[in-house]
Amino acid sequence: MTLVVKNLHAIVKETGEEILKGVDLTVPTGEVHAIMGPNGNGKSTLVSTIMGYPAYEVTAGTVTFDGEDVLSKSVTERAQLGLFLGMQYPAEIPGVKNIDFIRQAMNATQPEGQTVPVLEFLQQLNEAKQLLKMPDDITDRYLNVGFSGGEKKRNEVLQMMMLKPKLAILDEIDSGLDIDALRIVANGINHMRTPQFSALLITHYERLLEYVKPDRIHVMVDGRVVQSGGPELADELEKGGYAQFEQMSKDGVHE
Amino acid sequence: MKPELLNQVQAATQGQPDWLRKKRQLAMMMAQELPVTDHQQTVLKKWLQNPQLDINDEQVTTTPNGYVNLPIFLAAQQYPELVQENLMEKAINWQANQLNALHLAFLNGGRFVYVPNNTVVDQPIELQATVSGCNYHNLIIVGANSQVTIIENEAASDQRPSYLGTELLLGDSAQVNYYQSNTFTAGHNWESVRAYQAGDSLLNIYSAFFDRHHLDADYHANLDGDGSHANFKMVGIATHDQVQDIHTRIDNHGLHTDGEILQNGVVKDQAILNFHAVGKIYQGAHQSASNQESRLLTLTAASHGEADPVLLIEDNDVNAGHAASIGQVNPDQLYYLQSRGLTLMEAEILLTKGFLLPVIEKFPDQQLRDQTINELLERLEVQ
Amino acid sequence: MSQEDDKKAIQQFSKEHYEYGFHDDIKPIFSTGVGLTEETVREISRRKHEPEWMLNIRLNAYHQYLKMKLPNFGPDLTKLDLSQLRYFQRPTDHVARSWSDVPEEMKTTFEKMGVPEAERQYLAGATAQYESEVVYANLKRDLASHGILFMDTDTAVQKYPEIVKKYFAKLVHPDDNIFAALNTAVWSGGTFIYVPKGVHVDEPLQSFFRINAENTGQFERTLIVVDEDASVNYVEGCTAPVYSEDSLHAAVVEVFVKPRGFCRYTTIQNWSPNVYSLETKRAVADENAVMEWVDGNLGSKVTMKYPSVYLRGRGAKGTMLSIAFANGKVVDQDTGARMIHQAPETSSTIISKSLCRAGGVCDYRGEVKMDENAHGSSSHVECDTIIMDDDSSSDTIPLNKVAVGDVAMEHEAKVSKVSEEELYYLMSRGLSEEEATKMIVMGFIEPFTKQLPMEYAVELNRLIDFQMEGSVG
Repeated sequence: MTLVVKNLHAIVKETGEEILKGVDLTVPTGEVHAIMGPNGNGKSTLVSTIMGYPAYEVTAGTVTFDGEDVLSKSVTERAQLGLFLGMQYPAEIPGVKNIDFIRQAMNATQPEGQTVPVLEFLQQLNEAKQLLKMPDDITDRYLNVGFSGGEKKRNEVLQMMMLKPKLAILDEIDSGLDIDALRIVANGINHMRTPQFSALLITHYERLLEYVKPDRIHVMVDGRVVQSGGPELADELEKGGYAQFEQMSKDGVHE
Repeated sequence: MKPELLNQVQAATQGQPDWLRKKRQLAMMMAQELPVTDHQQTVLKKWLQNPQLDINDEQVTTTPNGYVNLPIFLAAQQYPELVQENLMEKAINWQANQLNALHLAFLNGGRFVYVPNNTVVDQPIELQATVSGCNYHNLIIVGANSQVTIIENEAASDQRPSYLGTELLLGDSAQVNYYQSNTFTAGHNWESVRAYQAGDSLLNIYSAFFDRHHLDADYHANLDGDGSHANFKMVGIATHDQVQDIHTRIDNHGLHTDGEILQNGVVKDQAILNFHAVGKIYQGAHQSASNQESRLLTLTAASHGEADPVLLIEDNDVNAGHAASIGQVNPDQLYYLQSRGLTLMEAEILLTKGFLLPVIEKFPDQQLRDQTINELLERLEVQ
Repeated sequence: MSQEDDKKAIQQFSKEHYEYGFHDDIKPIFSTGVGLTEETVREISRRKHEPEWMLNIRLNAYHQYLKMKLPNFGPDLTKLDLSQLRYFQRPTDHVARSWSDVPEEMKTTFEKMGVPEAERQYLAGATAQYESEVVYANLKRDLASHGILFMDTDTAVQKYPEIVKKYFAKLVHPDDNIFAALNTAVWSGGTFIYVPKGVHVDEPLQSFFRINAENTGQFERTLIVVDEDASVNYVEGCTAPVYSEDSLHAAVVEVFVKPRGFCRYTTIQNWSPNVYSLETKRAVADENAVMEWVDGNLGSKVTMKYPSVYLRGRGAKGTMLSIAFANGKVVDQDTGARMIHQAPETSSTIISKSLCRAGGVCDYRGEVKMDENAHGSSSHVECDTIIMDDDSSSDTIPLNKVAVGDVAMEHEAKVSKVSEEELYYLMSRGLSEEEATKMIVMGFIEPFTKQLPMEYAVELNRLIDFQMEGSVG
């Protein structure tokens, strides 16, 4: 289930401003990749565009997942392909219970007409809640309504664990989490790691990568991937910051 | 209408441009065919009993650079096309009701302010006059891409009800800040500010209703052009037996238009303060917004009022909301302040200030903020 | 649109959308023919063997009706021709006490509607109204033994005239509006409930009824009296088949809640899109009494309904929880609530959720009034509207008027379309756009559905689901 992004260009529909200026990225099956870079350089836009967020428009380039074209599909279809995006600012849906939603979402990705048996569902849910150390009543509350920032993030991870996507894209899942919550969330992500599972993490702090060891790291500056490397890239960044990469972008050097 | 009145109007309009004479006489003749509300009736009855048609004598003291600021009758002669086309047509329509028709027929004076295209007026234009005679009218036209700040502090000195009307016509991308704080002498008065806006124009209206007499106020912005914005920020105080009836309305016709109304009022003694706010988004006005907040603070058990925010929405791609509240000073806060040594009155004044300040603070000009706060304090302390 | 076009639009609409589009071929045994005269009123009273005092109330109301005009606000009622309606039907000649006495065809109708399927333990007893008359009435021995009276209003006039006389038309006077006058003149059927002091009715009392035959006016008159320290929960839900002529439903409901009493009145209305539902519902709450309206307006061509509570005693409380769904070009839901605070320390809450799509109109018309006795009172109003598409529209017209200063009144409203952010979020988890829309809509009305007895919540769920089909794209 390899994700291949080739020369992706995208603009903000309302203003016409170009945010993605030719992104090239490949995430092979079974690997965990991280995207790092200064704020406001297109990381969120990239993953939102992959998922089909309506505010952005693709002007050039392709995105395929396991050979299938992604960009021509609706948001729903992309999810049913096996993509999952854990969002930076998850929407609040009043009146809809967390548990009901998760159940329906799970059933939406089952083969035609099949549903997950109730007992099995509840079992999985409890296991996931426990692993993420979430309070029992979190699933009875309305979807994200009144959740703290940290609770919202963990709820995204909970959904990821229940929906079992083929490729999980997590947009700054670590922002707003204290050190304990960070470890717990990392645990959840690691729990999913199998040769059939891939993940693309946009991190806020490098620290997440201490707990979820990435196979590869990409640095994104000014709408492009300017550098890719192994896990050691994280240490370099920790020491030197993004300055050298910003310079690279200006010089027109990129991977 | 009595024929003597028509004669009086004919006499009063001697020397004015022909088109204006005809218009005023027509208004006089047609008035009784037009609709009228009870509130309007109480005002115009006094005019009809004893009309006063003298012209408010205003001198032209300065010749401003880059824009026009003239007494209205003089402007009618010097800028006939502009005045003829726009005086009481698009914004405050003279045919809308009897009150407006008679306002035109009995017109005593006013100002004409014209800012041509592409002009930024640095210094605020101050409209300050002592208005004798009941009917005073400002016609303000701001051209495309122009910017201006206007401050209206008029004092109506007539014993009969006064009608102060202001029309604001904004061209494409014009930006106007309009401050208003008028005072009256008669027991019951009428104030109307109506705007007609072209594309991407921005109108900010800041009003303080600090006069001590009964008032009917009618504020209306027509967001005709795409992308136009109107913001009304109003504060009001009503004391003793005063009744203030404030009507505001913003109509969104164009795409991406935005109308915001924020009104905070304080009532005490046996006074009444009513906020009626209407936001209408017409079909086709996609991605428009209409938001209103009307809040009333009642300081005594006998003070009261109404807060009716109305939303009329015909398009679905919109963001519309309103909030209204009528309530008292928080007794915990009152107690807290008193426990630190303030008298009840001092505490009330502080809390009243606190209630109106959030709106006053949105007036972008520091001087005007201070001025308004001073007026507010004066208004509260003098019993 | 001409009347012809209207009819075509209704027929087309019903074919596509309305699952209850059937009606029995039952010939009413007695009908007063078309139109309304004083003789009609007398005939109705005669057939019911009513006492003189009730006939007089009808006649006075009839003369009042002749003087009145259609309301000068709200939806267009000009196509409603009152002279063309049939005013009275009596399908059977007696009121049945047990299910086995009900005519077979009617049983089938009720079966199609799902009445027998409703769990018996939820039903304390059911009075089912057919045409203008109650056909089936059954009181569980429990109720009767506690002195709880639950019957059709006609029977109550005969058996408990003292109670009826004391309260009938005392809250809704004939001069209130033209339809109240009309109802008071020609009313038939409806529910009568009296709960004695200190008695609590544990299970909801339910009632089913529907309109049949072309051009029948439905004028049931409901009277509920909850005595001191007593409580009751009354639920009514109704459907009507589709016709090519218009049908009028002009009920009057009067509820009296005595000191420390409690009453909750739940209605789900799902009239087919040719019905004019113009109801007057009013309650009065005495000292520390609580009155709750729960109102679901899902159907009809035009609904005008503003349930109100007069908070007459100190500490009285009134709440209104309502949803309105205007689904289709012919539909105009004009609903709201009125809370009139007439005593100190009273409180009211109005929560109104409206949805309109496919050219429907849903307007909120509310009033919160606090008079000079309402010291220390408070009110909270929340009205939210989702306009689902470009063809539909909504007005929110609240009136908030206080005559004293030591009160608290809060009002909030929001109008928007279905949130794109929310849709995107749900769709990104695999839901189709239609599923996501349904989920958001169900979430939107959830504060309402969670107050319904279970079978209604289920029916409502199915209904909205069904109505939302094909709603997207």
